[in-house]
Amino acid sequence: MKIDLDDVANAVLFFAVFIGIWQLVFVLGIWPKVSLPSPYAVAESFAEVILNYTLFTGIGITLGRLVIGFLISIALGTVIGLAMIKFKGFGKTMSSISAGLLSFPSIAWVPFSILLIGFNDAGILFVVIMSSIFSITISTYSSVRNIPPIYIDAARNMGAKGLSLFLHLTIPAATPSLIIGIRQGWSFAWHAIIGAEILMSIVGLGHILSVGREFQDMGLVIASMITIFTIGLLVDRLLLFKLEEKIRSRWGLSSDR
Amino acid sequence: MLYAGDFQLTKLEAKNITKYFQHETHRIKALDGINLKVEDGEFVCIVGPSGCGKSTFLRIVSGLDTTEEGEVIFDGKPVNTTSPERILVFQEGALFPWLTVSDNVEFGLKIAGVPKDERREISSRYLDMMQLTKFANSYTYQLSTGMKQRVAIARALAMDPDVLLMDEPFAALDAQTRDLLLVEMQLIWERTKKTIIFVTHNVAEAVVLGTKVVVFSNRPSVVKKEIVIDYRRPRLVEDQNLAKFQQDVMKELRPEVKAGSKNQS
Amino acid sequence: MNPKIKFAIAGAIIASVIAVSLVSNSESLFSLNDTTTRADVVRIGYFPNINHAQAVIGLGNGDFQKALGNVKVETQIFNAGPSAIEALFANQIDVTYVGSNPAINGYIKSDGESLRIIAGAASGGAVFVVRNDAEINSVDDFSGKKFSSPQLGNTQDVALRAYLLKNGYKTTENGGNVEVIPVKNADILTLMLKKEIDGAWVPEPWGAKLVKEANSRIFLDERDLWPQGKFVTAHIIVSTEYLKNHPDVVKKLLAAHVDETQWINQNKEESFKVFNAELEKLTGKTIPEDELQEAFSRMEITYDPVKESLFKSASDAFDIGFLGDVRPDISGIYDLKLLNEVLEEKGLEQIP
Repeated sequence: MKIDLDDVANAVLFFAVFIGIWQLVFVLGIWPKVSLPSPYAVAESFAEVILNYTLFTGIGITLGRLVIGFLISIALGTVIGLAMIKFKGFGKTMSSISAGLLSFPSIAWVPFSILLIGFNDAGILFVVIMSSIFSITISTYSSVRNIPPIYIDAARNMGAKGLSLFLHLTIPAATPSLIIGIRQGWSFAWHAIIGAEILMSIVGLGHILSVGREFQDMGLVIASMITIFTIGLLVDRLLLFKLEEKIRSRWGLSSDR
Repeated sequence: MLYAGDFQLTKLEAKNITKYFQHETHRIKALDGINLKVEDGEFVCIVGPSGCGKSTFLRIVSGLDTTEEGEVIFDGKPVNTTSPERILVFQEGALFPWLTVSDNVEFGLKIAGVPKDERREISSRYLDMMQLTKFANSYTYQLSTGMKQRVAIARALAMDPDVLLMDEPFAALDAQTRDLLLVEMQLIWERTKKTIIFVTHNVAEAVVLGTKVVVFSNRPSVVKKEIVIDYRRPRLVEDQNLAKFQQDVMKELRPEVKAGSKNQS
Repeated sequence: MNPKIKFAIAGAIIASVIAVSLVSNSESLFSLNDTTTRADVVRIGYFPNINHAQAVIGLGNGDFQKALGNVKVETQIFNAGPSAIEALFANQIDVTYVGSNPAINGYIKSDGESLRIIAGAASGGAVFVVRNDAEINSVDDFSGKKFSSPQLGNTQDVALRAYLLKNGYKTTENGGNVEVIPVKNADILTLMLKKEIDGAWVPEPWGAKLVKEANSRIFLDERDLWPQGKFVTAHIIVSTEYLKNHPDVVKKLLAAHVDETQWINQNKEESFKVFNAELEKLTGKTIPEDELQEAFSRMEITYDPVKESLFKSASDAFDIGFLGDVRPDISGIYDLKLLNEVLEEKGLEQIP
C-alpha cells in the first residue's frame, strides 16, 4: 500500500491543529469543564477503558454484531433485489417502499424491535438490518437493470444461461454499481448499530458512550465518539474505498488512468 | 481458392423472416419476408440502406430475437433460441470490461466447461492469429477500438461456431486497420472454412470479402438481389478489377438508399 | 510547505498541549463561559413524575409563580436525571427537581462546584417487583435471572445492584450470573409482559402498574431496607452560581415548595385529581386512580432531604463501581440554610 507522505503530513497537521484549538478553548473556559473536558481528560478516559479491556471488548462486540447484521442485509437485500427484477409488479412496489425506508431513521426502529423481537442481540441485529437492507435492494435492483443488454446478449449467445449467466455475467457486470450500494449500506448499518447500542444494549461501543453520558463523564463520551469515528473511517477507507477503486480501475473508470 | 459453385450443403435457410417495430403509436414493418439460403462455407455479405433491418436479421438468425412469421432452419432444424453454434460479433464488440483480454476470449469456453489449460491454449492461438498476444493480460479499456474488434473476433472464433455472424464489425475502424482486417478476415475464412454472414454498409468491403453479396431493399425489406462475386482470392480493396462488381451492387443499392432517405420518418 | 515542516509544526503543537495539560492539571485558566444568572427569571426543571408532585402541581397551576411574584418562572420538562444535570451544567436551568444518584454524579463530576441540594421532595416509592411465574420465592432464586432498572446509574439501578451485591450475586458484566438491563419504565412493562425479564426495581407508580397489569407481585418494598422506611428518591438541586447570586429567589421558591408539600399531605384526595389534571397537560396521559392510591401508599411527599440515605446511596454506588476509584466525599453537597430559614418562619421543625 503506497503511502503518500504529503497526505499523511496534512492529516497529522490537521489533527494537531484541531487538538491545539481544543486545548485553547478549554484553557479559556468557553465551556464549563464538565461540558467540554480537556484533551488530556479525554486521553485519560481512553487510557482507562483501554487498560480495563472495556474498549477492545466493546469494539469487538460492536463490530461482531455489525458484520453479522450487514452480511444478512447483503444476502437478503440481494435476494429481494433480484426478486424485484424477476417479478415486475413486485419490483415497482418494492422500489417505492425501499426508497421511503432508505432514509428511515435507524433509531426509530428501536422501540418496534424491542417490542417485536426483544431487548437482545437479535433485536439489535433487526435494527441494523432494517437500516441497511434497503440500500442493498435498491442498488441490486438498479445495478442489474442497468446492465447493458448487449452484454447479456453476448453472454447468452456464448451459451450462458440460468445460474452461469447469473454468476458470470450479471454479478460482475453489476459489481461497480453494487459496491456503491454496499458502501452506503455500510454507513447506514454503522449508524444503526451505535444508535441501537445506546438504546438497547448493555455492552458495545454505543453502550460505552451511553454510560459516559449517564454518569456525566464527558471525557468518556468524547473518547467513545472518537473511537466510533475512527473505526467508521478506517473501514471505509481501508476496505471499501480500496475495493471500489480496484474495481473501477479494472473497468477503466478510474480518474487517474 | 473457393468459388461460388463449390458449395452444396445448405447450412442455414431463412424463410419468410418478418419483423415489426413499435414506433410511438404504430408498428413499422422492418423485414417483410426475407428469404435467403446460405450454403456451408459461404461468405455472405449483406448490404442495404440504413435502418432496413440488417442487424435485426442477424439477431434473428443467431436466435437472440424471434421472427414473427416464417422461420430460420439451421442444419435442418428450426432455430428458436440463441446458441454458440451461431456466434454474433456485435458492432460495438461487447467485450466484458471486468475481464482481461484472454479471459474475454475464454468466456464461452469457461461456460462450456472446457478445462483451464485447454482454454488457455485456445485463447492464445486466436490471440496470436489476431496479433494481440502482447495484450493477453490487459483490460479492455486499455485497447484501441480496432484492437477491441479483433478481440471480439478472436472470442467468436474461439467458440468454433458453425456460423459466424458479423454486424458491421469494421464500421468504427480507421481505414488502415480496416484494410488490414479485410485481408486477415479472408485468411481466417480460408483457414477455418466457416460459414460467415457479414453485414456492412460499405460496398467495397462487401465485394472484397463475400462469395456473394445480398442486397436488402429499403424497408419493409426483402432480398432484392443476390450477386455472386466470382473473383480470385485474396482480394485487395484497391484492386481495380473489383470495380465491376461494386458497380453491380451499387446499381441495386442506390435506388434503395434514395427511397430510404425519402421516407425517413 | 513541505511535509517535514508540517510534521514539525504538528509536533510542536502536540508538545505544547501536553505541557500545558501537565502543568495546569486540567483546569481551565479562565472562565469565559456564560454563567450569567438573572434576578428576574428563574428556570426550573422537573419530571412529569409523581415524586415531583410539588412541581407538577405548583408549576402547573401557578402556585409557584404566585409565590415568586415579579420573578418570572420558566419551566423545562425532563425525563431522566442525566439530562437535567446536563442542562444545569450548561446553564440552561437554575434549579431542578431530580433523583438522588444523578445529583451525586453531577456533584462529583464538577468537583463539588456546580450544584447544591437545597431540599427534599420525595421519600420512598420504589419497589422490587417480580413476575409471579418467574419462580422467585426468596433471595436464593436470583441465579440466572434477568432484572431491569429504569436507567443505568439512577437511584433504582443503584438500589438493585446494591441489593444483589449484598446478597452475594454478581451481575453479568462482572462475571456473575444475574443480568441487569436498564430499560425505560414503559419498556419494563412490555418486557415483563413478554416474560423477557423476571423482575424490575422501579419507582412508583410503575410498581403499582406492574402489579396490576403484568401478573407480578412486590418482592420487596425498598422502605424495608431503610431506617424508618425513609430514603430520598427526589430532591431539589440548584446551581451554586444561582444560589450565590439570588438567595432571595431561591428562598421564595423553597417557601412555595414547602407550602405545596403541606397542601398535598393535607388534601390527599384532591391532590390526586389536581396532579392528574396537570399531568395530562404535560403528557396527554393520566394515572388511574387506583394506581395513584397504591403508589402513594408506599411513598411520602416531603421536604426532608433524608441526608443519611443519600450518603448511604453514594457509598453503595461506589461499591458497585460507578463512582470511580476513590471513595468520593460528598459531605458538602447539602446547603439547607435557606430551607431551615423558611421552616423556622413557618413554625415548622428544622432539618438538622
